[in-house]
Amino acid sequence: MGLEGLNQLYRQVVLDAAVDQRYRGQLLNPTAVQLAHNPNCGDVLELQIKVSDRHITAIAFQGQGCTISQASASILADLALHQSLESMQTRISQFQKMITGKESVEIDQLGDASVFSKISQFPTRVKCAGLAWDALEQMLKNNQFD
Amino acid sequence: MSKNQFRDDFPILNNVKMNDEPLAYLDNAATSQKPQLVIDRISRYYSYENANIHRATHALALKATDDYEQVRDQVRHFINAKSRDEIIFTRSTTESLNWVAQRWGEAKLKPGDEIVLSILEHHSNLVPWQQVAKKTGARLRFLDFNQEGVIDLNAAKKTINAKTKIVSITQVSNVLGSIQPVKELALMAHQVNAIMIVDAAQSVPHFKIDVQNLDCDFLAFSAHKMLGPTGVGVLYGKSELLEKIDPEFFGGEMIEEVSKNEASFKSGALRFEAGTQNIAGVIAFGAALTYLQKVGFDKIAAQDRSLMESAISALQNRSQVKIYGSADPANHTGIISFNVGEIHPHDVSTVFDLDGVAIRAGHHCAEPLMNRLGVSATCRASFYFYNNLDDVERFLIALKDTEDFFNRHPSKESSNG
Ligand SMILES: Cc1ncc(COP(=O)(O)O)c(C=O)c1O
Repeated sequence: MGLEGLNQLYRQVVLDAAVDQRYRGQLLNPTAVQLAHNPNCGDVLELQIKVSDRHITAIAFQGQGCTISQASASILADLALHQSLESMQTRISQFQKMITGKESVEIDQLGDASVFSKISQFPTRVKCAGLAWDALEQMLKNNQFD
Repeated sequence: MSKNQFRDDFPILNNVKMNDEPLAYLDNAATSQKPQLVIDRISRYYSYENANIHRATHALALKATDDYEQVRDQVRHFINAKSRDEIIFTRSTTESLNWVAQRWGEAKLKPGDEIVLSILEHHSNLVPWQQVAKKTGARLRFLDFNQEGVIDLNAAKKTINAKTKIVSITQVSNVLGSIQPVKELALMAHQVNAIMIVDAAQSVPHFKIDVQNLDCDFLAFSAHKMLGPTGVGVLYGKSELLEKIDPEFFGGEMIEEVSKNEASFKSGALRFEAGTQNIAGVIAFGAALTYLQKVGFDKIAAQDRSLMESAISALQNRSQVKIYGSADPANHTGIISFNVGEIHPHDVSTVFDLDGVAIRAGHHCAEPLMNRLGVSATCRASFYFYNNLDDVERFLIALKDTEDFFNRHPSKESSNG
């Protein structure tokens, strides 16, 4: 398996996204903040968003994590910026279905995030890929954003 | 090629592939593999010997009772306890430690009393004491360790004082592999009339334990880390102390006599084992102990030593690798925690996984220790006597693959925002 598996898991898009600095850090006056924790490895990620008129107008994350969780957070941030909360809800649920590989789903709206479409072949990394998405899902659940 | 005479006894080591590669199992601190004879013992019990134990009125039950109770004698000799009544079967180290925390800690501690732990403890020997402290108003105090990953006895002398009622320490760190001076700590504890509890989950599999020599009051370990099945643990407790503890569960097996309004309880360890026990597990644990004794701790120590010397000296030549704990292979007990440059441990362990090498990445249930080391996680490779120099070689190849891949594709851990 070795190298072939590695190349499949760590696509260039993933490696690039993992070092992408554009969404790293904190927002001034975020509308909502959410911590996500991966109990398997102890990684912690904090996601912040600013919402106006039910659209995400700014997004940032910070924390320590592996290549997969950091890349996935960057890709999510890039995808979520300027999107409506409703459309992100749909995408989150598409993404979550995609990474567990339990059912085939439309991934046409996932953009770069579709790079994780084969992650279910690496079950020990599914949680890493989902971390930021779970955080955003929690945020949408816990806040009214009116 | 180094021949290891024990490998053939472990079916998983010879027959199983992981990600299409032969398995190199280096996660022994999490759980050891099981020799065929232990697996067969479980099967034999259920196939031909299955019966409930104690209060036997037929031959089958009598044999099951004898076999179960014989393991208690075996464990007693294995750790040199004074009496078989001092050996209680539990489900795990975790259950054993919780048991002492609740049955002794909660019952005896008062506000202002102190419980002394170390910063190295596995969560199983930390969280139960946090709960006890909350309930009783007792205070937790922590011993630090030195460069070698060993608790500093001079500092301990100051921390263990007249307020100390309990000292509970791991004998071998599950992260650093370093061996702790529990005998000296027991002496300090007793000088202030505190009791000494030893978490022996990582030590009992690797070297001879003599509870009378250590003079500890309680000692806990798990069968599954020493070739036995999961779901069986041991709690050793000095008779004088166990006699002062009331049973916590009531029901079958543990009673002497029951009338409508009263019950009297069996004596010794038996009164703490209420209800039907993990009979198959305990009996198979007996087979594991017999096997371990045949291997012998001299051989186990020699193999630990040779594997640690070869792995650590190779790692010391890898500039990107940082080893945590002692530089001395003798102070690792088969365990090496490390990081590879800025590469996240979880990414490292995935490369190893794909190469068929099973290691662990994470906080290893020791978050305070991770904080103390200034990392959020480490990789951990842990060896046992059935590992050989080929496994070390596989480990080093996986390490090289990790370095090659991530140096070619630098996606450094861009942490902390
Ligand atoms: C030092 C130490 N204490 C306690 C435990 C808990 O053992 P168990 O999970 O068998 O209860 C472990 C196992 O990882 C350990 O390494």
